[in-house]
Amino acid sequence: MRKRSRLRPPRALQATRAGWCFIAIIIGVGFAALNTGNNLLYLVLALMLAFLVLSGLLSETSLRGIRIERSLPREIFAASPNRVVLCVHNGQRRNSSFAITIEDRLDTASGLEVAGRTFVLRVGAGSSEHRSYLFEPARRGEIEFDGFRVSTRFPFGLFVKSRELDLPARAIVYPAVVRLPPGAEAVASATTDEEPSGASNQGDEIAGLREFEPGDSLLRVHWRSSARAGRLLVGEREGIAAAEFEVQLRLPPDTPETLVEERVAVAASQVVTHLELGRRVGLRSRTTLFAPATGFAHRSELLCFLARVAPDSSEDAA
Amino acid sequence: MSLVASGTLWATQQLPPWIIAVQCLIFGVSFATRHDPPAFRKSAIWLNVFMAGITALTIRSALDGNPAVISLAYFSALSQGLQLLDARPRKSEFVLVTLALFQVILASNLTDSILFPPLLLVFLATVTWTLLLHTLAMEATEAGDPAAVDALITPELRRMTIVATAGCLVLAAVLFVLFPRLETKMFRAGSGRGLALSGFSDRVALGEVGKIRMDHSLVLRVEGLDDELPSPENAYWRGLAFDEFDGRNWSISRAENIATRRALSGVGRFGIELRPRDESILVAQRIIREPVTAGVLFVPNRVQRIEGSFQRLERDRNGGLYLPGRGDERIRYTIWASASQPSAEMLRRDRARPPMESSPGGKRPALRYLQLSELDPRVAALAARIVEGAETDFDRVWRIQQSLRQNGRYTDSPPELGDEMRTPIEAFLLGELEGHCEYFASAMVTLARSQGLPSRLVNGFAGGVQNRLGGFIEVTQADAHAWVEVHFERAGWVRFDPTPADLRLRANQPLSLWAQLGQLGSAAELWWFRRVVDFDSVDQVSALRGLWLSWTRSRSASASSSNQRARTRGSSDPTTRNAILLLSGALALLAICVVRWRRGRNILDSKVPAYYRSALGLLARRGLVRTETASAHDFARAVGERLPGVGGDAFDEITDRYLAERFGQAEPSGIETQLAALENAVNRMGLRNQPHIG
Repeated sequence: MRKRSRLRPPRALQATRAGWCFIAIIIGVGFAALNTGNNLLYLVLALMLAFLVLSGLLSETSLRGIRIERSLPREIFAASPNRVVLCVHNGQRRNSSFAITIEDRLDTASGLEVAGRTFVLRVGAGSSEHRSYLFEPARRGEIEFDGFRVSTRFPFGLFVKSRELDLPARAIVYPAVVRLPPGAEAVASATTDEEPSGASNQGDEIAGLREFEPGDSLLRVHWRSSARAGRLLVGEREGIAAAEFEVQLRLPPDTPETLVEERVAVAASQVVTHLELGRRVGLRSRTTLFAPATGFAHRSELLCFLARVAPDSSEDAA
Repeated sequence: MSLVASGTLWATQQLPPWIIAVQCLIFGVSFATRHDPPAFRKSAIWLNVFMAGITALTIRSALDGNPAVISLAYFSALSQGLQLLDARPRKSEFVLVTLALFQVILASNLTDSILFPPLLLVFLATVTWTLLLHTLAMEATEAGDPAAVDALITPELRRMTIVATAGCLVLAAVLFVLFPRLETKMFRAGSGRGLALSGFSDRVALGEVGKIRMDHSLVLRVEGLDDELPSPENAYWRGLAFDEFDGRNWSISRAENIATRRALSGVGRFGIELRPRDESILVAQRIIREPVTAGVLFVPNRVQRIEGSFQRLERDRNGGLYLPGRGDERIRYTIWASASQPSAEMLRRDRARPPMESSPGGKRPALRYLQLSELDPRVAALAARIVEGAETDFDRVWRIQQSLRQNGRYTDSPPELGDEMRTPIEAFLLGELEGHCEYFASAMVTLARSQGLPSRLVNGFAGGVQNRLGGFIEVTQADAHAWVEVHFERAGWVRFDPTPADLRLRANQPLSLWAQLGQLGSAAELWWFRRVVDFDSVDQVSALRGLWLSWTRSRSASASSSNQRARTRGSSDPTTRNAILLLSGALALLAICVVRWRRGRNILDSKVPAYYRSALGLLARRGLVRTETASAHDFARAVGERLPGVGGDAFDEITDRYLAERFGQAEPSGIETQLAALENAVNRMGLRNQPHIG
């Protein structure tokens, strides 16, 4: 990636349709000026060329001081929209940046792919603007953000000038969470070979309260305490009152890929659902066993495992 | 933008009045109905019908024989109107910009007018502004928030437009100087110029000069290269000389086997010698000639050398100079001519004899300069009476000239002269001697030839008015003049002017305010023509050379002593001095504008009381900055959210006091307690690096 970024030109320029028209007119006027020797045509030609140069300079001032920070959500699920927040900062002291289009890009095996796109009309000198886009990854697994392509058609719409900003980041996309069939919270799914290890029981006892975090179900919000505190609080049902639930995941080596993904998605959905219901959730595959537990760290551990799991690895390990 | 682009076409004076009227009407309608356009403005059918009409009109114009450029000017002017009327959604402003640009390009090909540069400047500024806004609006619409652009129309964007326009101009000026000046002429169509012409041809009816004099269009601008300009009495620029006269018409005679015009050897760019060098002192004049029908060049008498941006030069049998095929252009050329006429003493020792000229049989005297049509015998008697007692040819010529000058009466609108029995010139000579220059000159040639003195009539310009602002002489068609040349054996052709000078010379008449303004415009136009329109490869090289010289001079000046610097400055040429003065003036003006603007801002700032400014400063140090768009109350509310408790309350009070004082409801009073509370609160909270609010 470093080598590729070295090879990249600092700016890329692409003419728009209006830009091509303008260039064609310049060529025409240039030809007419050379043909006739008419100085006023030379003057118009000079003005048009100066206009082009000016377009380049102004678009450069729009792009020059741009710096972007990316805030990824704590959990990214496949096949669902995840909001990625970008903080666009203009580091210039005098010049504002106008009409900035930002493309966040993923580095994939097949090349760079656009993760999402957003637009800022103006970023004042020395100030920042926050924008976001919805990132909807198609598959679970590890992903690598490469950086941004920042482009602008400012000032005259004749060219799209762009520059690359490297901001590599790694993230794990959890499996897609699917809607479970009614009653599945309590009953194991036959297709995934998962079996419940206990009956559904949400428990009445609240072991403690903690701050609401992104990803927490609204069902777990303790409204009375939240109203008293003036902020959202979530009831923790860890402890003796919570029931246990073990998800069993079996992925034989010859399982078709679509089936693998289906089983992993259902397993992830079971994990998320039962944890949100306050149960202690464990996970068992042929090679790995996660003991039943609750909490965000445990949830992340299980979902990370499910994001990376593959039929071969589980069977080989077995 | 569209209005300015149309203005450039109007300045060419090539659009018929009805098209201008239609354009004005469209501007009015599109502006008046911009919020609620009538149905026809949204109807594709109506707009297509209009477009078909415009296309038909353009084709018709081309078929009528109008140059292609003018037909295209019709098309672009009306199409732009149609585009303005088009109120359908999804209309692209780029089409409008393209049409406007197209009009400016066409105008640049149709005019040299001084109105063009200011219009071009305004066009540049308006097109920059339009495109900036259009691009931002398009982007905002694509982003789903078209209204956001309104918030962007701020002084910052206006300032950006002004700076961009200025930068564009500076860069364009540099590019303009650096472009290689080629004239390939691969395609040579009618340029559309050559429509403003003054009347000079190789056959002139008696009295025609009088008609020309009714017109005040500019013909020549004459600058003295050594800053010396001839006095109006001695300023003559000859055009064509005529040797054949039938009593009513003057013409250049034709002879078998002799070409009417011959090309002179040499190339104009390197200078063409017109006659052998002699010992006389030469004066140099730079002349700018407006388009003239036959491509005649006007030069002072006894011109020795001519230089200009042309390849070929032709001369007719009577010494008239022509630029073939360049009659429809404004031409700049430089001439070197003898400063003085032969003295009377010298001419008294000379003899008036016809010149010898080459003919198929060898050199022969050109007797055509002595030929006369059949005349009333009283004319010859009159001539004899005038020259009676004169001993030399010069004295005879002189007496004829003086007789006409003293006894004649000049008028630009002479009575109808001549009838079936008498030619106009007979009527003039035997009548009241009342007429304009052409009658006097024709009369003198007739009288001189009747006395055997070889002579010819010359048409050209004389006098002119000095333009004090530009330092040149303006010669208009009203300065058209006719005079006489008599050939002497050794001195050659010598000029005599029998016309009474008192009323003829415009220089004697006082200038009105309007005329003085006209002189200012003319000086600006000359500058425009010399520095831009007629800027050629020679100017290009000399401009670059001038830059190089000034740079090397400044380097050597900085290295030498102060005395040497003073000497160098003293010897700098007036153009450089003027340019430096102009630049200094422009910089001074800019500085004054900046100072006034800053003072204006300070005055605005001074309305804000010190305690409120201090409070803003305190908050700003912690990252709480009031933006331009936030009201005082909004900002106080935002501060209250970030700074709850005493600090927020204190700032609330400060804001209330500030607003009460600012809008005249309270007297200024101290608010130190609240300020101190705010400072304490701010110091405690540690809000550094918070984003701007408001």
